[in-house]
Amino acid sequence: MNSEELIGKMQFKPYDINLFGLKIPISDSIIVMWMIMVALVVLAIIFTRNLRMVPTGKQNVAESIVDFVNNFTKGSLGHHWKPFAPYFGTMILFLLFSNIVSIFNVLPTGKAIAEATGLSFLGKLPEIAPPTKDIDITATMAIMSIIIVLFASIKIKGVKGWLKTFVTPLPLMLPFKIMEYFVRPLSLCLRLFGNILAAFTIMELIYIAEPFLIPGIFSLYFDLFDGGLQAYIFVFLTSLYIAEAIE
Amino acid sequence: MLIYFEKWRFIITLLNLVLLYILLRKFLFKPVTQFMENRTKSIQESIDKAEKSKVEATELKQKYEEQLRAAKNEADQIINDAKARANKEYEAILGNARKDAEGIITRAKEEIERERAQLLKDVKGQVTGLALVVASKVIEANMDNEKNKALAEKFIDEAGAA
Repeated sequence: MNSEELIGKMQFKPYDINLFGLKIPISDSIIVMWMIMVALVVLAIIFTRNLRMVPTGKQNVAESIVDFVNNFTKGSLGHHWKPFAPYFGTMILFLLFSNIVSIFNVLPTGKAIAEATGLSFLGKLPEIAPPTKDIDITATMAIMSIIIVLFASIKIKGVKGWLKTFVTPLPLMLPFKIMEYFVRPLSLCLRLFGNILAAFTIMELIYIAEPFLIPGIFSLYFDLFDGGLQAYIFVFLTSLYIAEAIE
Repeated sequence: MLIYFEKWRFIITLLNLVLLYILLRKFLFKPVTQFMENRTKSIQESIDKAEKSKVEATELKQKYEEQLRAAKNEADQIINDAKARANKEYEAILGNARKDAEGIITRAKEEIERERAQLLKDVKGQVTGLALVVASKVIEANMDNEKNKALAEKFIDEAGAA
């Protein structure tokens, strides 16, 4: 593999879809995102079927995930936790799946399945790479988070209370407080994007250097640990911003 | 294209995230949170109910024990009373019986005494008659006068006294 191929892997690949005659440009990241969404929703439905008073098996998994998210939200937001818990849960599950999705590269690619079965439309499926290595997606998530911070602050404090936050504790803080609304999403977006892209690139480099066994070991750190950590940091910082905005 | 911002991809990603949020909230977070809260509530209720039942049971037990003790005391009282009354009755009946028996015995003795006296008197008369007959027969004389009769009676009295 030469350097051009590597750079090609790092970039997203544009696709075009036609919707009612409207040509909409999307990317392989969005296709992987859809796959992750389908997986998450299907898993959610499977894991929460037949809830029993005494939890067993899959219900334990669903309960511990929801309990973790609820406790995390309660810990950071106090008694305002309820409306935010599903958002944090969605973010953390989606980011976790996105960041560690590379480990599913052991499965045959869409192209290989298409060649084996003759189902040509599967050949259009992209190779599985973390959608969070695409800045479109991290930027969207960061903007969404800052919008939620904004609305939470206005909803809980009122417009007057929200405007007051710009001049507390000192009116001198005004420019910095305004800047925060731009710096925070930018840092959220770039931190996630940079970390995941870097981990992805390093993993690709290791594949080039030694494709046997070694990538698996490094994948534990770069895909699982770093991916999980970045997912947690993203949601943790969002919760911190919301907590600060509504306190 | 490493960094290239495009509004359609932004919009689609935003829609994806909102959709994912709605679906996960509907299928995962809401039902499971609600379920766990209901379970916590029902467990708490069960514990409270059990606690209440326990307190009630203890109270009932105390009440029943008290009642039992009271009943036992009452029973003892009743038995003691009955025993006392029975004793008194027994004494009374025994006393009456003794008195009756004594009365009967006394009366019987008097009767016997009277009958004996009567009998004695009768026998005396008959013996007197008999003696007179015997004597008249013996002396072959008419001794049927007052003097003889007194004589014979005197003799019989002496014989009876002897």
